[in-house]
Amino acid sequence: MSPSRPSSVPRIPLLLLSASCAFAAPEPAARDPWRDLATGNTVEAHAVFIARDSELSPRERGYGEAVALLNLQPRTDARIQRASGLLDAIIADPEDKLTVPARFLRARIDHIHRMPPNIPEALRGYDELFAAHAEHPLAQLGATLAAMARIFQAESDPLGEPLAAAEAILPRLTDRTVKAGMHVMLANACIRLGERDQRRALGHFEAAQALGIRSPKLRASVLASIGGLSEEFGQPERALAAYETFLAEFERDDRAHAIRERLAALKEGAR
Amino acid sequence: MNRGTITNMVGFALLAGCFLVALGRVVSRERSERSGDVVVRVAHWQLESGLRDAFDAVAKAYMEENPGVRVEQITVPERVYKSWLRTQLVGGTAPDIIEVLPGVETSLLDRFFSPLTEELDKPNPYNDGTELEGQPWRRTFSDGLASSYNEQLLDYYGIPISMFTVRVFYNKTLWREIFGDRPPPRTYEEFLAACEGALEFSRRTGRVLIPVSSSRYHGKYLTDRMFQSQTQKLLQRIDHARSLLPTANEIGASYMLGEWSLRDQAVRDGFQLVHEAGRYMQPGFNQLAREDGVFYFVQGRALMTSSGSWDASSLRDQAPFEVGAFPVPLPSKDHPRFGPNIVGPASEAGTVSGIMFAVTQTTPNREAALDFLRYFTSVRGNTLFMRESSWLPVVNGVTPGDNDEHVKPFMPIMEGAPPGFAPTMRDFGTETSRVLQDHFHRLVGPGGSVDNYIEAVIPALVPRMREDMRRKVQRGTWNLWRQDGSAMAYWHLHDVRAEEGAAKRWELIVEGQMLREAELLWMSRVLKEADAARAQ
Repeated sequence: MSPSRPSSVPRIPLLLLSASCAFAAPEPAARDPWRDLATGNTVEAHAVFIARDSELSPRERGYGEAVALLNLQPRTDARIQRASGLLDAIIADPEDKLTVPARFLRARIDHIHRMPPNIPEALRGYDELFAAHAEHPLAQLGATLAAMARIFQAESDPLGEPLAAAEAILPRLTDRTVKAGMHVMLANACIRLGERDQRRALGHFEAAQALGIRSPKLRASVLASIGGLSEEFGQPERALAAYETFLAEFERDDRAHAIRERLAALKEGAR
Repeated sequence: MNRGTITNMVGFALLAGCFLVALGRVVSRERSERSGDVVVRVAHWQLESGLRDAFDAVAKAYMEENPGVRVEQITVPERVYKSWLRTQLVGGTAPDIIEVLPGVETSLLDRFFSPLTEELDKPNPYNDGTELEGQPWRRTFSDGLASSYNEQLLDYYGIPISMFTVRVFYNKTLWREIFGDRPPPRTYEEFLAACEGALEFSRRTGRVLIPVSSSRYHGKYLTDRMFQSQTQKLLQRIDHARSLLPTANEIGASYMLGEWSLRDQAVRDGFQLVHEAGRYMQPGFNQLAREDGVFYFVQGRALMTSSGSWDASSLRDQAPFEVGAFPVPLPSKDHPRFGPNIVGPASEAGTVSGIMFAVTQTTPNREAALDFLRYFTSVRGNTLFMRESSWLPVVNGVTPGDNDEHVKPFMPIMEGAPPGFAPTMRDFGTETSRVLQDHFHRLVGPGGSVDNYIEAVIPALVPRMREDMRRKVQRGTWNLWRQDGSAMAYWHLHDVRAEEGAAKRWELIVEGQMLREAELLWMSRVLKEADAARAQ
């Protein structure tokens, strides 16, 4: 390049770049931090919660920041610790709609977000929340998560006392989603742990199915299990009902033909 | 000017040229958008023969019905598609509709694509006047959109346009020359006879001929199915939930806990089938690339090859002979050795849809993009696509007619029993799959045998399975972290702001999270128990 024209050539791309700016994207609309958090846009949500000119109440800002910090990259101990502190401050204030979510999330931090987790503290948090607000869906969810941890992390005999304690909670659960989830979890525990108790699993699968399961994949498997286990335990009419429901909904499933054959055999046997 | 300066100037001129072309494209795009037409851009990586033309035909038919909307197709080669996609998404310049890669990261879907659950609950208006009129869009797909549902995000993200089955392709012209009018093999026994017949023909005529052309890519499509026939009963044995379809985690965990072994007769028989079929493939096939496997076949140097229905049109176009297809031939239940392991012929009823198109969150033409996808997956849109591409239909009621002879052999087999698990256990984890594949030459190579293979694999298998399970637990925990944020946000939108639909979203997340959390706790327990068993 000639020394007499040191900067003439770089100007061209700069000009072109400037021209291309004419096609820049329009100004983004104001962001809703809770929508952003819900859809995984944590950075944007966090920026709104910590902005000084935020129109949100200080309490909501603190709570929102705590939720955002749990996913803000890089995840650091300091951030998790700050989230705990923000939640502790909210819990210490007079109760409002944020109190139960904050208490649930505080226990949740001890349960899975803190490294290493503090399981005894998490279980204590879930238990106390359920004792104080048993009617609240988040408290019921916490009780279910605690029961789950006690069963799957039991040193011995997971289908003994831990399972019985979990089943004792079931009548107090009023949220359908949480209760159905608890039944599925207990059924899987009965199938997979210890000496296995498939008869007990069947009861939990049926209870979950009656309450309603949203995931199609899970619903298909639960229906097939109800059919298979019912047949095994000599309850053909219950197997028949489960198989018919399965086929009505999951005709395009690798199991459909086999289930159709089983259904035909059951009907034949009923004659 | 010295040489270096000239080189620099040439480089700079090229750079400037590229920049000007790019700028020109942006300007022309801007102009077309300002012309008043709604332009829907669709990006995909399906460069198979005939596919782009079929896509254009559907787009043309749609545009005729919807004046004022223009559909543009952007094809990007598969090799660069992933990086191209990420650049477009992050740069905010993504097209309106994008084909998402199988196994796309959940975080990418969540951040850049629109969930479609609510749209899928509404009827597809392009199905008015058909048997599907008034049905929710989701229920008009032959698989009920099972493959589109993201179990982690608990939402539907993609609209599929086709589905795929695996078949054995054969050189029909050569087949007639060797076997006359004999029909293609229906059982494993007939398949072996055909392979022997091809070898005998080769010896007799002096023509170099491989019974089955294969490669690292193609081999599994034949051998997986054969092996799966032998693990059907084993699968029933470990199906403690009696769901008829144990999950990949349950299969892996049961191995780690000693419920079954590679030395079990059924597993040995499965590997024996692979060993026997492998003898009819070209030596060293497991080291060959996909293209090599195709070359052998289209050059007429092999009688058969195995692949998915997605390759059918390309093979037909490349081969100077007539190409036929038949289902992978499996041993019959009467087979003295392999029959006892079989429950029944494998069902393909669970064949899930593919070629999944998702709508980007940033599209300014969301409604038009969805409308085009509705048309594409209506009875008439999908029929047109099937006819033009010869790919399988994915909409209920769309079936190949008399003139669609290229489609018929690939339609899923609806009858039969659930298939067993595959020899590579890909669904369980990559480390496990790798160790099972790394020793494959001991099974199908010169001097290979089932014993050689199994004894080489066994010492390495459980450590690799543990590695896969540990990763699953780790990744699962990361997902729980992420989902916690979403769940709490939806709870807030429901409880504090009473937003419509937020409660349902919270319920969906909670249901999935409880299931996954129990799964992670169980896997952690399996790891612990497997450790304890090992220590003993």
